[in-house]
Amino acid sequence: MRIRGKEFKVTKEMKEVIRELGEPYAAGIYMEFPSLHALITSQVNFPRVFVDDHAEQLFLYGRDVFLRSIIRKEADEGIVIICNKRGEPLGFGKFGKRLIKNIADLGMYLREED
Amino acid sequence: MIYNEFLLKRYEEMLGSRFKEFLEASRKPLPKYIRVNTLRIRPKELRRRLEEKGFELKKVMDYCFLVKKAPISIGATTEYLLGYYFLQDYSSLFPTINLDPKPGEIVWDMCAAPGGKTTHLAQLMKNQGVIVATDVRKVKSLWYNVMRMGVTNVIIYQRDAREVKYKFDKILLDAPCTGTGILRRDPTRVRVKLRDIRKASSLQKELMKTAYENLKEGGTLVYSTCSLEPEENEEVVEYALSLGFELKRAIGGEEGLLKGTVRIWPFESSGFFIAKLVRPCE
Ligand SMILES: C[S@@+](CC[C@H](N)C(=O)[O-])C[C@H]1O[C@@H](n2cnc3c(N)ncnc32)[C@H](O)[C@@H]1O
Repeated sequence: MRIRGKEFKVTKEMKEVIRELGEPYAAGIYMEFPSLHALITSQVNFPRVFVDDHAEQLFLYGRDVFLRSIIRKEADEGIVIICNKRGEPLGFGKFGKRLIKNIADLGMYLREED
Repeated sequence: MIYNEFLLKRYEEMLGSRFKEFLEASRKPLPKYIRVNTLRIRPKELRRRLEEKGFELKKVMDYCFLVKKAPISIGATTEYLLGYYFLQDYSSLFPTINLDPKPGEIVWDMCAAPGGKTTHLAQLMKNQGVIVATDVRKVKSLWYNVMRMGVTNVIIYQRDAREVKYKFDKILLDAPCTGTGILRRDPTRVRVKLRDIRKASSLQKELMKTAYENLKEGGTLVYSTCSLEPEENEEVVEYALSLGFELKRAIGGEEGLLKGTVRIWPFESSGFFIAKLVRPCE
């Protein structure tokens, strides 16, 4: 459903409540790309790239991923989900020539709050 | 000293012989606790991962740990960013625990930001049912916390709770207050005077009235504050009783000045007051 011009995934029950209470600020799962909410609730489907510990740290600080820190990858181009070596999703990236560009990472929650 | 003379005199009267212990505790920094987000990880697994990083934790409840030693800030780990835990005082778990929300219920968190209790509610509801979370301010940080913790059953409104009209199964009223129970964490509030307490109390009563009107018959309301002042606590509950609420026994600490309520003094954790109320069926 659209809320303030953005896409959210809501249940039938939630819709009924919203019908009575009016347009909310946000509801359910935020679906607009590159939503980290959609990412961690398994709503998105992109190939994954697994990176080492050092790259994980840097990526969560908003940095790009160097190709040499890739442990395993399911694609060589386009948009990917960056995962740590455990397979936990950390954010989205986009393949470039020499690195994977950081599109969004979980560290954003901290950086934006400050 | 973080408490002014006016406040100290009140606490001395209420605490009697334990006042000395209270003064001693007030000089120490407040211990830090984390609440594990069981929607995302098992407490045992999180504990193992943090201990590998050099944290020392002590279990105080199934999904709550006291942080005894932290090699880096507990708010700066990958696990934190992954939404595996929330920094939350132990005592502030009890309002939600007393409400005991069930998957499938429609619950209202009236004063929700920044979402410590909202995300705790969602965890107990297993992300099922609906939580309506309202606040007049800080809804962005509320939303961020909801997203970071992987919570999916919340509807957020930036709205004065007094303007909401609906019938909820359960309501949490974690009211705006003078915060005298958390001065050890937030010393900006040291200047609290009687006038502030009276002002908070009258808003709390208005919110209580709204809660009554928006609660289904047979539904449960939990009222809580992080204030130590009777005007903001017991007095508000007495007002609730005059509206028709019935008082149930709350858990989480020693009994308050009113039978059945809970009053947690800021010894081991922040100060809190909790009352559990039911709107009887006609
Ligand atoms: C004690 S804090 C809530 C903490 C929150 N429950 C948590 O656990 O993270 C009280 C909140 O009440 C909000 N508030 C104050 N007046 C309000 C009103 N009339 N309607 C809704 N929220 C209000 C404040 O903005 C503040 O965020």
